[in-house]
Amino acid sequence: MGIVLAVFAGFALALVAPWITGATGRATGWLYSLVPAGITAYLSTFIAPVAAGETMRVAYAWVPGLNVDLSFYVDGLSLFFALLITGIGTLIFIYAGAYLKGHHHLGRFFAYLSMFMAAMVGLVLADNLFTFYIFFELTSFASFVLIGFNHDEAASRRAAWQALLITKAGGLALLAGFLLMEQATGTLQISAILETGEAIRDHGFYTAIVLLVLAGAFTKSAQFPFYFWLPNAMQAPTPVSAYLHSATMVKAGIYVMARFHPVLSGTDLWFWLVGGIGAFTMVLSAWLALQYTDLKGILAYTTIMALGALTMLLGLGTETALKACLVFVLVHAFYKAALFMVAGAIDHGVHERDITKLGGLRSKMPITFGAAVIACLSMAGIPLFFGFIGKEIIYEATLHLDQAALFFTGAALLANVALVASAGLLAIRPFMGPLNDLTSHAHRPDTGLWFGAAVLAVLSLGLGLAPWLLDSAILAPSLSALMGAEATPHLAIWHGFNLPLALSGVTVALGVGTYFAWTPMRQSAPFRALERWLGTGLDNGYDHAINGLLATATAQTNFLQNGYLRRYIATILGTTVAVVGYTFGHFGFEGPVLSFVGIAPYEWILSLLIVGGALATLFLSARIALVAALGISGFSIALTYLMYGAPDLAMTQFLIETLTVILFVLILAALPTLSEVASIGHRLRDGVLAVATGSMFTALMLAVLNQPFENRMGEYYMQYSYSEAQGRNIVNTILVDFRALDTLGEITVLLIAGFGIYTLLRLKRSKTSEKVEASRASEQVEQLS
Amino acid sequence: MEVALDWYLALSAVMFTIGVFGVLLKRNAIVILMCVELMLNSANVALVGFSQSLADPTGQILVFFSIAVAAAEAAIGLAIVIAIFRKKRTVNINDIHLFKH
Amino acid sequence: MDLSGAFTAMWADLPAIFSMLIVGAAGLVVILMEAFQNRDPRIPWLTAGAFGLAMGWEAFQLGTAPDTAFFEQLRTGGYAAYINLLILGAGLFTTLVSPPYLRRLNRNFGEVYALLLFATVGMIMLGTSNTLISVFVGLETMSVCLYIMAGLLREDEGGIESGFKYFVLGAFSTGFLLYGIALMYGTTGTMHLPEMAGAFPDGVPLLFWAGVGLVIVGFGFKVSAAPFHMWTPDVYQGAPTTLTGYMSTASKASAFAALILILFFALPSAQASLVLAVLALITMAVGNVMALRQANVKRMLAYSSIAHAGYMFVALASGTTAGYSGALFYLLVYTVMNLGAFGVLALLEWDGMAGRKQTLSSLAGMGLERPVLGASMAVFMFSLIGFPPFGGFIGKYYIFAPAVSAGLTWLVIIGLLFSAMSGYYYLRVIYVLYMQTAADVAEADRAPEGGFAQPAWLSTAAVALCAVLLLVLGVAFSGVVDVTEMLFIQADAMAQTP
Repeated sequence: MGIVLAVFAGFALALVAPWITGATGRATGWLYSLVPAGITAYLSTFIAPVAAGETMRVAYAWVPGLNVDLSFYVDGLSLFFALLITGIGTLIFIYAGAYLKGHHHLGRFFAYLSMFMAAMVGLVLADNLFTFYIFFELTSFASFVLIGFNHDEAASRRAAWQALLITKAGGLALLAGFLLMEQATGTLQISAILETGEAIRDHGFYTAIVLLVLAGAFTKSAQFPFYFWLPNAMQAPTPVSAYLHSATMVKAGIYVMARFHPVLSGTDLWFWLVGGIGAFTMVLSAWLALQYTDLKGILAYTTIMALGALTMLLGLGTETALKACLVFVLVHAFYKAALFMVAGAIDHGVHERDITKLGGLRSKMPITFGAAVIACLSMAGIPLFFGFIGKEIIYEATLHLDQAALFFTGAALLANVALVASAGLLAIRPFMGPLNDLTSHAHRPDTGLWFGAAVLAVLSLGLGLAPWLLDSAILAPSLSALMGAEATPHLAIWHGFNLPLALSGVTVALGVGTYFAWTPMRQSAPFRALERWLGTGLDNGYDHAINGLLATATAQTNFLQNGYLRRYIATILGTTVAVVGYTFGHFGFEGPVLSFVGIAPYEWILSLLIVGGALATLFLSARIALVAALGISGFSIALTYLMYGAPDLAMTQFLIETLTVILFVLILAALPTLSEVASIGHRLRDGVLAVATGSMFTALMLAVLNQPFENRMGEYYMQYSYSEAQGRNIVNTILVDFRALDTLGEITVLLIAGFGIYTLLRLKRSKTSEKVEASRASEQVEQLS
Repeated sequence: MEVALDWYLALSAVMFTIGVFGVLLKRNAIVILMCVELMLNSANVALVGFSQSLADPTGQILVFFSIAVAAAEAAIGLAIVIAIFRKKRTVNINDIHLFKH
Repeated sequence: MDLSGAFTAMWADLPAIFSMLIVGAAGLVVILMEAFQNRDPRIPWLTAGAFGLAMGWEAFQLGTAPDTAFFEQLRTGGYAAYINLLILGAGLFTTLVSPPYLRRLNRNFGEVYALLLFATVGMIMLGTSNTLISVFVGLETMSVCLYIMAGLLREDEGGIESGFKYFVLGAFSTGFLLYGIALMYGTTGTMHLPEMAGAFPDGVPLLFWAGVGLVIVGFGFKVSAAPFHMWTPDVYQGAPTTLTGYMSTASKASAFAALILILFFALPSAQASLVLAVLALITMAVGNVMALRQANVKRMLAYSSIAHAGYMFVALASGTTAGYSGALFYLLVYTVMNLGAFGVLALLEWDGMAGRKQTLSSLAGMGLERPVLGASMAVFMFSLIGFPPFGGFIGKYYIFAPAVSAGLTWLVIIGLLFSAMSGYYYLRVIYVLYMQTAADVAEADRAPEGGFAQPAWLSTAAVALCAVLLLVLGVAFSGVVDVTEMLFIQADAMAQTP
């Protein structure tokens, strides 16, 4: 119950926030932060039992018919992420209260933010693929409204829409993957799926499942080639960037990969796809980050770099790599959230985020400066800071790979060099140097604006000094869950002089070099080309893709839906011919055995009249002749019915035909002469289609004639009627009892249709009433039945 | 009396085909309407033929309804054609393509 | 067929068609009232009352065991009650939102309500039919009324074109349907659906398939499955918006219900699966791709309804009871979302031509100016995409999951990809409604000053109710799922012991 409450507390806050925010005033952020803080505290009580190897599961039947439960599962991995989300959430809430102080939509903002947090908590704790997916999509939606929060700016709107389209598309791929997963394992319950061992890997759907799940994860976690939405998403207010687009939401994709790691990983496909794309994204975005001067731009690309690194580590899949992954999640969350808050504080105080225009802020905002420096040192992986631990393990993991160790180590080195340079830019450029016109007017930030960054900086430093604190309580259970096997990791501040340490040294040295070469490098042609192709290039590619899709749609629409009725008719016919033709081909078509034995002369004559009349309607153009032809055909049919021994049917047909003929005569008299203007080409094309249709129907009929079904059915019927009714005179019974009613109905139709003619003749009254009457006629017929 | 089923089914197929030809080839809304009537009539002939040879009346019952429906459709169709004619002074279906794409 | 007690049986069967009687009788009364007093203001209330009464009746029938009435012409019991509730609900909604809308178009004739009622009678007959006769009669009663409703704005070039195209193509497809019925009847010797499956102890003849094929063509037209869909955008665009909503939901619901009955009872074990799957594929492709570029929201919704017919066919293609009950559930969700969406459009209409000239851009910023309508529209759009926690998501899940189980994985994946594509055009509506303002759109697209009427409270409430219902369906749908599943479990039992 407690867990459910923990998940839904955020939704509850989201519901009330818009209404009560007016009353909470300046304390809003601090007050609302009690919710995530409370959830964090509650979840912390699980740390001890989970570390002891327990897992908790609560399930409420939701839709038993579909095996959908509202169920939550607390194990090392979900607890790890849940704590991260609510913990950082607490700080972000405080920060957002200060950052958006006095904003007239503050309540709405907090509603979105809490909804997001709740969705995220629900996502990581969910134990049912179905509920998991729901929360996954809710995070996309929350991200959409938060990015578009300043919707009076066109760039915000575009970014919000882009993010939603991309993550939504990925989400649907994920859903497809989940459906296949259910098919492969026979359950929707995640904790049960994790127990199935090789079931998915051995299943024929494996490749499809991996591709679909990864499509969901890669779009959400901004991997190549989908990452372009993330820098655009920085249009959102900074607390949102800090929370959603660096610390938590984008990690949802990582969580998806981590959650299903035990059952999906371990194949070459997984290794190269996840590891390879992760590594590529990591290196690419680390260097792209150096192309930007906007604080949030740099932070966005370094976030993508971190996500790439995490993806790569999940792809590599060794115990060290997975340990590195978990540690790096924490490292990154701490420093990146801190740096975003710093960037926001600067933006708030100076209204400028371009690092080439900032400077000297250390005196204006000392605490912020201190936090920024610590966060950047952690980011650069300097010893004594948490980031150092993370980087060491990453190197250790890539170095000890069985395959492609050199490739992945090289990639990690390359990415980290750029990261060091970015860290330098972020720590030094805004704060050092003299104050300028802009920065000298900066105002001192509120407590709320530096508090979060300071806490996270302290954590980055503290965990750098005492990383073993995480070993048994946090890391061991989460690593075990990630591997699907028992693990006892140990983090140490010092591993002695070894290859990773040497690599760290090289990284820092090269990073410092890069920092000093930044300005010329950024302006050099190759780097600008890189940015043009893979930074804004992919973004433009998205536009081109959308435009291309739209152009295709336009072309298809113009071709298929040209507004002409004859095209529509031709399409219907063409399809029918194709389908029935296929059926013939499929079932085989045998030549007919026609027997027109015993056709009486008058039957010949009647049939000729019917066909002749029908053909005449096609070829005549004189108005009266047309009607006459139709009438001949219709009356001949009536005579045919008579021969069938259905006099009442014949009479009805006769009456209706008379009426129809009168109607047509009246209408045609009112219209001008009929002219045909179809071009030869159209006639030819339609003629071919019509001949095909005709052949098809003739073939159909010939096939009928091939069926010796008459006798069988006759026997069936006789047996049926003798046993259940009073013999064969049943036909008479029906005729007497029911056709009387039918005929009554027909007469009504006639009367009313006659009335219709009358109104048509007068042409004064509203046309609708007469249509109503006709429909009412068929209505009554049907009721009489 | 005995009616040759083959014969009437063939007749029905021919009528249906002629109806389809007409709907496809003609451009005059009224003639198209007539051809639709033909199609319905041809189905009726087949139904009655089946009904007779199966010695089962339900087919004929359906024909009753279908005749009534044909009448109702003719009335409505003509009303709509009249309305079109009043508005656009034409009943050529090629001139009726305001909505497209 | 023992007819000795026919007339007694007929009286006993009357409760089975209670809804039809009530609704039909109300239609007749409406015509009389209109004859005595033009535009009698009591007519909409009478209509709504009839729908409400019938709904109340059907609600009590939901749990009853399946049976037939009128010599096995019609089905009764849970399945029928569920479908009837859907159809009647759509009718009630349309009656509630129509009067102010039609008044503004100067078309608030009593006949409109009579048509609505008669069409509903036809739909009920179609959706509950147990023989091909009632299928035909129901379908035609419905169609004939809908043709007129489509062409209601007969002074408008668009309105009359709408009616004309619908009529010609509809009558044409009726020809196919009737011929298909003739063939099915001829080969099996019966009109009764449940008897058809047993008619071929040794192999289904080709001709029966041809008949089924033609019947599917006829139904494909009514439910606007591609490539028989082409009338849909043209008709929806020109027809009065509230009636378009009715056409796009109730008629589809009943046609699908009948199609499900035909497939379930008459077709031996899911043999039409491939044909239906191909139909589903083409329909989803056509609907989703062609909706992308629509500037007119009604037209976009028309293509969207084509796309949704495609999703429905995915469920039908799976050919299992789970698939059919998924389809039934989806019908409910689809009806609610589409009714609501068309309702909102009707309330935001200003061009006096049933919205046929109105672009999406003209609605810029209306989400904030009409908060209830805007929020409801957002719910409808999200639900149409299949976004949780709205009914549309559950519906999609519920039709795609059985298809995966039935081995149609490829189709489901394609379906989901098309759903992803649909995000573009649905979200664009939300984007324009909420994130743009009139200043952001081209001069030509803007609504005239004061063009938007103040929406009537009853209409607004009805629309909002649809939105709430979607949320409820998305969260507390367990009960409905139970109903739809039960319908088939019962029907299953019934099929085995006819």
